Amino acid sequence: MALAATASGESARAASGAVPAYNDDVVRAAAIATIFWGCVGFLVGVVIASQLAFPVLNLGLEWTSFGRLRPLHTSAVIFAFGGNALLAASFYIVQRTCRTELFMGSAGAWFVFWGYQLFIVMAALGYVMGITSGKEYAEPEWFVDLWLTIVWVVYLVVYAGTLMKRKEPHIYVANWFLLAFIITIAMLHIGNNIQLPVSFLGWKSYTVPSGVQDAMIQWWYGHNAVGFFLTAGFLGMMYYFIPKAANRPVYSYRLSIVHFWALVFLYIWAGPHHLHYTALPDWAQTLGMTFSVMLWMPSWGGMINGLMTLSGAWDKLRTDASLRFSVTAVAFYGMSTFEGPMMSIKAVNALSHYTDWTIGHVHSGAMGWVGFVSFGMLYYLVPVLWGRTLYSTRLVAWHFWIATLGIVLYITAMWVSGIMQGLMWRAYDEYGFLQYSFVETVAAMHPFYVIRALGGVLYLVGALIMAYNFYKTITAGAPVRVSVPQAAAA
Amino acid sequence: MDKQEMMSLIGSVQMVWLVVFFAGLIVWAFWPSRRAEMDRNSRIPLRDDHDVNGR
Repeated sequence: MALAATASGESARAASGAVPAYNDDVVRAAAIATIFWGCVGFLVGVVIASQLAFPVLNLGLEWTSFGRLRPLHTSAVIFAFGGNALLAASFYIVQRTCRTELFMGSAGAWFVFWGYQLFIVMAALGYVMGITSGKEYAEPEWFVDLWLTIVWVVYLVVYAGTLMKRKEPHIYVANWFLLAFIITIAMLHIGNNIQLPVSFLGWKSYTVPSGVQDAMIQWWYGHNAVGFFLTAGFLGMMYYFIPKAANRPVYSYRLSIVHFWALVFLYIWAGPHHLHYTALPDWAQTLGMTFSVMLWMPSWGGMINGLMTLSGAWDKLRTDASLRFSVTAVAFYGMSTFEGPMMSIKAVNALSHYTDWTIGHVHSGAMGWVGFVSFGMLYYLVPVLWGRTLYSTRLVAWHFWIATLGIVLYITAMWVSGIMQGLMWRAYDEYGFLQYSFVETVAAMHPFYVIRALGGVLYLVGALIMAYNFYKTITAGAPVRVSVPQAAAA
Repeated sequence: MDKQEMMSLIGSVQMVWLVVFFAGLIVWAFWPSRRAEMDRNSRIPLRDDHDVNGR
């Protein structure tokens, strides 16, 4: 009965043309910002990877040294590229699945968009000039943190306000993940940045907690930035754009509910695995390890849910640009969420910690999962938002294979280099002395650093091909009346 | 009750509550009579194709 009422109400609305006037301008802006910051972030990644292989590229200048450019790379990729992808996804998805325009209209969303870009620019300029709190992935200083807090609260108000005025009785699961992302990032950001400036109006500040408490709060923040920014938010993307592109509902809606609650319950406890064999109490390390291993289950539940959505529609992988990227992304998600729990086991971590293996793990997640699922969203969204058919599907294939090859080169190089590094650090000779000096391990890693930089170049080239394809799509693509891109792509 | 005991009690209550919540959630989600409603909810994204400005 309720179903009939909903269905007839909808068809009536559609027939009368009374569809909500969705605020899509800000989604378009966020999509362009995603592409732009992606290319910037990947380029800086190539630069710092090359610096590791060839230190002369530090140029002897403080502003271009590895230590200052590294946070520029991580923040550009995670917060600028990933963050704008999440802004685009959340503003698009919440309007469509709630059948209503944004709360506060365009004004609120535009404030969030420009406020967030200002945050990115302030943070980036600070890193280059040496203004940093030194907390990994939370490097911005107190005044930038305060600004982000304001922007983020408005983001939450716009998002939650839109959910509250929804016309659809049920809140679709993608929104749960996106709301969890917004709320938890607010909590983490404030919790990890309780800090006092050293001088009146000076930029330098220190956090109120010190020592191991500070370290624990930092990695409670750090790992949940992975869990709620790079995972929950992008899972929201997966739960909307894969069903949309495949034109079939998610494999199991019930599994998605269990996936959501299991993920949010478990992730929040996994942080201590970043502090194995440190001053952190042993019980806390074991707790972090245990929850990390348990996380394997919801992660793979979600992966299976995403992949099985394609069941019966696998042929679309050959023709649909969006699905090709999103589905490969889910496969990479499965791989890195298997690797992560394994590396959190203390005995494995004793080998892997502080080595390149960790860097490889992060990049299989960031390039494979976050990057590819965002590309998948963009290949769906750009044609829909601008009402044009995609300029070239051949260029999509080039992007896909070049970027995939780049990831494979990157992560295999880091596996070999990381495990070699770990083994060399722990090797003893027959008298009980360390067999290798530190500089010998650095020299041994050189060829793998070169391969890694090459992988980064390929990933960047793929993204530039995508940017060109979208430029041509927006400026010269054939207009379509149908909003479903694969009809034209096929 | 001193602070130590209270913290340990809160920890135990929290653990029991989370386990009960999660078990209840699984039962709720997989309850047979909820199948139709779940299927309907899963189709929400597929019913939103009326795009902006009449496109």
